[in-house]
Amino acid sequence: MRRKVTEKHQVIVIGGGHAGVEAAVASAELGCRTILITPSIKKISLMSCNPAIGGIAKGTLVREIDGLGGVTAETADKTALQFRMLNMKKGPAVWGPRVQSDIEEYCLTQRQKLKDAGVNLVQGLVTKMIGPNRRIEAVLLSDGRKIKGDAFVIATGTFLNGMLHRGKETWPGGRRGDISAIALEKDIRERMFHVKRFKTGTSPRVLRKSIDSSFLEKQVSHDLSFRFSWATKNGVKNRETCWLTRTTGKTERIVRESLEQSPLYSGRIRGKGPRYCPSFEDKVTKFPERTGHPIHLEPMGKASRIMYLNGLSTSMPEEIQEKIVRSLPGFKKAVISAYGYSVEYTCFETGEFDKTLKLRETENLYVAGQILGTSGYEEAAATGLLAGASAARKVLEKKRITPDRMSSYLGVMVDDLVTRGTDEPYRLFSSRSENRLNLRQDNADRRVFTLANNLGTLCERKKEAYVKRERKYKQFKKIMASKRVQGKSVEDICKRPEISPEDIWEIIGLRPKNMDEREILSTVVLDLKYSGYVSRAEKRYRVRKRYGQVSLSSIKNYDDVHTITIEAREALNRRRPVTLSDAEAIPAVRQADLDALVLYLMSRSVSRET
Amino acid sequence: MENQSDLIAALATPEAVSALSLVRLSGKGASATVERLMNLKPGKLTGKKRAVGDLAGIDYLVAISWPQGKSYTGEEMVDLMCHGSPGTARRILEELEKSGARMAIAGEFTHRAWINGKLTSLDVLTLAAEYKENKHGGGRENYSAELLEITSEIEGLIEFNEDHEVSEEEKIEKLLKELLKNTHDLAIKVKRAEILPRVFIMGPVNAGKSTLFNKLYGKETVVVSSIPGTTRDGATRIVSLRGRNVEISDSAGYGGEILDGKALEIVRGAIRKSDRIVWMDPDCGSEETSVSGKHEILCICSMSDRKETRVKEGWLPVSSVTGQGIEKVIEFITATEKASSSWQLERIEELLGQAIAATESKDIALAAEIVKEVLREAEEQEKCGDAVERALERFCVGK
Ligand SMILES: Cc1cc2nc3c(=O)[nH]c(=O)nc-3n(C[C@H](O)[C@H](O)[C@H](O)COP(=O)(O)OP(=O)(O)OC[C@H]3O[C@@H](n4cnc5c(N)ncnc54)[C@H](O)[C@@H]3O)c2cc1C
Repeated sequence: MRRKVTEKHQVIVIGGGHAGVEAAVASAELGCRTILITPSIKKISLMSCNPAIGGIAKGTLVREIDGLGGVTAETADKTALQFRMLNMKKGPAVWGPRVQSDIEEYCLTQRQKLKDAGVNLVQGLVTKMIGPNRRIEAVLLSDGRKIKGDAFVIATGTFLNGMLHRGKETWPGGRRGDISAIALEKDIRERMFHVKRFKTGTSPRVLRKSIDSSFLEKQVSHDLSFRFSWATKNGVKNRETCWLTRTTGKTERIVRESLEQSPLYSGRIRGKGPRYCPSFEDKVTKFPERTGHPIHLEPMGKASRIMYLNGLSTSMPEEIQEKIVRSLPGFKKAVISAYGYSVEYTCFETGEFDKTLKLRETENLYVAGQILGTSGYEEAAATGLLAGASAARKVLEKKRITPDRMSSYLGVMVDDLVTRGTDEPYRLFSSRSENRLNLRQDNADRRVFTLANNLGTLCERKKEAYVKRERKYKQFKKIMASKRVQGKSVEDICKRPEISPEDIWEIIGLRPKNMDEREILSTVVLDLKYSGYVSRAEKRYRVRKRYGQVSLSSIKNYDDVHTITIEAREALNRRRPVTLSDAEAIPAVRQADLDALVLYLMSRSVSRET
Repeated sequence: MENQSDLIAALATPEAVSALSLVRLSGKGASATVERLMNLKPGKLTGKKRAVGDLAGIDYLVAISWPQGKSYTGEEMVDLMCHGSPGTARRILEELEKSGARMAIAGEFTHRAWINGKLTSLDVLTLAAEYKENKHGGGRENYSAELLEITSEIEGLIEFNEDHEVSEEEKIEKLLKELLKNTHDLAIKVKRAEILPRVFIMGPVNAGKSTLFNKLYGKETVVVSSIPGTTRDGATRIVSLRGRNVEISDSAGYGGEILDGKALEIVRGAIRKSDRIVWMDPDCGSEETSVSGKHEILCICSMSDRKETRVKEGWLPVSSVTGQGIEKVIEFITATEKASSSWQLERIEELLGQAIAATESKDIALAAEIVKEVLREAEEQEKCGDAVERALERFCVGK
């Protein structure tokens, strides 16, 4: 059923990438009429870079999206070609589920999800916003159409004045084969929003047939009966093989000798790139002593002719890329089907948006995905969901809801972006969380349920399923609380580092009957295992949060506070923080100084009262 | 040590003939004072500077200055490197005193460095421990740095799995084990540097003090070290009793010539507030009155196994033969305040043990969390502030 799109709709999402899709679905779930405008409907949710979803912290985020009612997890499950649980030997808190996906199936599935959610799709390129900054009224399309709305979400990814670079060539584009959103970027600049330039890059793709796999190491799927979404009934299927090879000393030499031909090193790209997803040029320059960098070969789809070379992101000229690729074992006769390149794009400066992802200067304009300064599909999808829900809540005049950093990676990311900012594309890491032992992939749905409920993004069907699982969780927990083994409580046994969930089931004779139960039982054990650390982390956080409410305005001169270090006194006199949390952010101020400040304020308030 | 920024001076090198001596000045006006004495233009020693010249006709020397915040003490500071004869240094110090500098007391420089956040408590304690072993300077473990290195190794291991370019789990385990060993060594040093709580066993001759002492010392205790002749003549042992280090002194027997009440008089001058006294007397004589009331005393009626012994009220019956009451005595002794820094180091050792166990069980994320807890523990300053003050007493002047 297609609705007429010229009538006034409520929420308009600009850009059909990973962020845009989740934004539109969330808005529709909240009951808003929702339009998604994107230049090519066929390319909705196209993976611009490697064909994989998940990873360390990212995979956990995907499961949070599922718990919040998003679609990314289900789509990743359905289109999975291969599954790997990263960090299997590093502890359950940092397990990172990751699937290889079929890139075409992925686009198709996402498009279907949009349709199922009742989102109207409009093919077109937004060139301008209409109305004052405070209240945007409509958007203008390149073909002259004007679409009105009550709230807007911009999710244009790497497209805002996107410039692509390879060797000496430079051309406008949001990614290979797509146009650049030049007019919209101009409009954003003219509206005086603060923006910055970031860059990222991608690897060459090669024809599968042209590679001799006898030189490669086979990477088989892990069989763990895993799936991202609780709605997926069976574990993801293994439909493809990935391969691993390593660069030879020759590869690095070629790169080193041609460095001045890379736009990254000739100074032509000025945008900041991601430190943690570096170009191969960066790897060679920063770790000159290393060789044998791993290169993963990932098929772009089931039986796809094309393989993605993960780990070899480069924007060298074509002939150098050819040399680089052919220096790899098994790649003597490799044929490149698409060359690597870099993209430089505009995104919003930290401080422009708040924790609902609304641009502060406006009342109804939201931002999501790469233009927040993030990088990655998962980060984009999660922020998209939040922005879409926020926009819908705005037009429905509902309370604003923000995620918190102790219970989800989404909360960590939003808090980091809004309060700390980023001067390079922001990628999620488990170490960004101070509550990592709690932010696990197995308990993602439990952690975000309150948020999902408050946001209103979880459909009834998923909510019911959750309530059922929660009942099981409580039931298992009760059983464990009641058991004692050799005079010890099961809870205490769980805390021993060498004890795994499976050991506990063995000890108490509880066998999970299916995949769901297996996971719920694991969660019960792991929650018990880490409970001490988690509650301490949460307590520290609560204390720190209170710092924000302690005003330092009564201190005129920090030299009066003899109990703090001279360094801290100097820094505090210079910076004049408003609250104790601002003081905490100053490097010269240590924990002991903060405590001393609290005591000082307390003693003064007491003496004033008496 | 109340006035943090008054000008203090001291000789920072041993008082002996050597190539060079170092006189250190710290506090408000350090630079200006030296500028005046050396006839330098005002401002010549402001900031991180160097000047060479004559100081008040005493010596031709090198002056090095640091601004506030950048020096060892965190205050404005000047080091004067003069020729190494004690006479020269003494005359320079006299000259500085005339110009308004106060002579520093032992450990004052380090204390200021600590107050100003230039050193953590752990640093200070390590310095104190090393100083006591006559290892001047050098080799100071930078504990937090070591911990941070491990943390970054662990984080790298967790986050960059995809790259396969990271250290292996074994490396983390090795680093943790090294750290545990260092902590353990440090703990031993710190324990030695600390002023231990002391327990004096006293009472009339032949009350069974030595028997009790040997019982405590022999069976249930581990000798850490022995310091001969600390009290009048009796043995003094540092023993580890139920995990606590306590200095136990047996003020017993001197051929019975001196009354033990006298012995008490002698030790009295050396008694500190934190010390405890075990008063022993099979006849339950009320000798406790001769010990000033502010000390905790346990009165025990010894030889309770003997038929003729009458236990008075408030006295604990103890027998070294049957073992009656011994538990209670140990309880009393070990209830003494444990120095917080060694408590802290023990806690760190325990945590590191847990981190190693977690690594061995392939739970690196848990190990990371524990290491962060260690880091917090190590950086927490106020917790061992008290011990710092005490450790400082052992410093030489000028350090
Ligand atoms: C070359 C390249 C390299 C990359 N490398 C990495 C990497 O190494 N690591 C990593 O984590 N991520 C990488 N990515 C980033 C990853 O693709 C993005 O993080 C992710 O796709 C962002 O999702 P998004 O929804 O914000 O934007 P996108 O997926 O970019 O989607 C934006 C959508 O908006 C549409 N659009 C743009 N302008 C308009 C307009 N004016 N009107 C209407 N629609 C518009 C576009 O057509 C597109 O559909 C790379 C991307 C590119 C292009």
